[in-house]
Amino acid sequence: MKRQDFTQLDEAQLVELAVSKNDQLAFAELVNRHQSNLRYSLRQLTDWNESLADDLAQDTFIQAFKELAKFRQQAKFSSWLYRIGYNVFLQHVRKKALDTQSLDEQPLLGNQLEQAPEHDEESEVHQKVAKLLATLDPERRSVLHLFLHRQNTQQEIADIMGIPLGTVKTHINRGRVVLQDGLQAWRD
Amino acid sequence: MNTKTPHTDEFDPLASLFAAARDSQPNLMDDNFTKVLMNSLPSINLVATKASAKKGLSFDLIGAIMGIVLAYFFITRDSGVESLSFAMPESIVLSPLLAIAAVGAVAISGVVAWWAVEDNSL
Repeated sequence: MKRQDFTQLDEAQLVELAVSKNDQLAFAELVNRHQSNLRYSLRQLTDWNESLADDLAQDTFIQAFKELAKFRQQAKFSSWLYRIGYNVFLQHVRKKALDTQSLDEQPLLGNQLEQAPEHDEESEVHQKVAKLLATLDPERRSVLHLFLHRQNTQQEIADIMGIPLGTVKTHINRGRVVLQDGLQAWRD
Repeated sequence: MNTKTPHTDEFDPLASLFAAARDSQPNLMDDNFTKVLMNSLPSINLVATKASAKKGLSFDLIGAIMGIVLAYFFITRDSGVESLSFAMPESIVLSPLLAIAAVGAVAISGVVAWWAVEDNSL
């Protein structure tokens, strides 16, 4: 089967081909479809550290490849992939102690954002969101990203992250307050 | 773009910021991402992985069932309790060597458990 033929297949068929026929091109197509969203999410979680986010995305796909035979078709592939990505991110945090930053620790942030090139306003928005999320601890950061950016439901977030629904609600309520305060501080 | 807070008509700057980010999320170019990834994939035969996972499960099941059947026919409740009480030592003398060996065993178990978790072997 040629590479371009895989673009016609749905994700369930691609997973089946990769697992049953050991077809790496089928897995490459899955990577191609999801790499942008996953890399963007990881950039949001890593304070817009592009190289780190890409390294974590690589690790996520390698882990997904190793565990592809365990993937249950009932779940969405993107949710399953994000769950692996979130665990890879948490492992990195534990190993490297990626600290939560408070706004007080980044007094130049407002200036940096103001000095961003005018023609790059879209990029500025994404980095601003990432900086804001970096004020939260990693688990809360992931919940708020899934809720506010990906617009997952609270139950979906609980399933993806493997945490109780009550914890998700707490993260959302408290996280929103911190983010709103942070946003207000920037505006002032 | 919905930037109103739920249940109110109040403008929510936080929702507005995230909506702006969501609406303008870039489609990140693949460049060499997929190529590098495919070159670094471990040489795993997924077909064999799937088959061995199924085979391993069935062997476990057969072994467990055989063990239960053999135990049912050959071990009575009294003999089982007797053999357990017989296996228990009447007294334990804690020598320095034994203490060091016990501490060493616990330390090694801890290291192995930590390595297994970090390596995702479990």
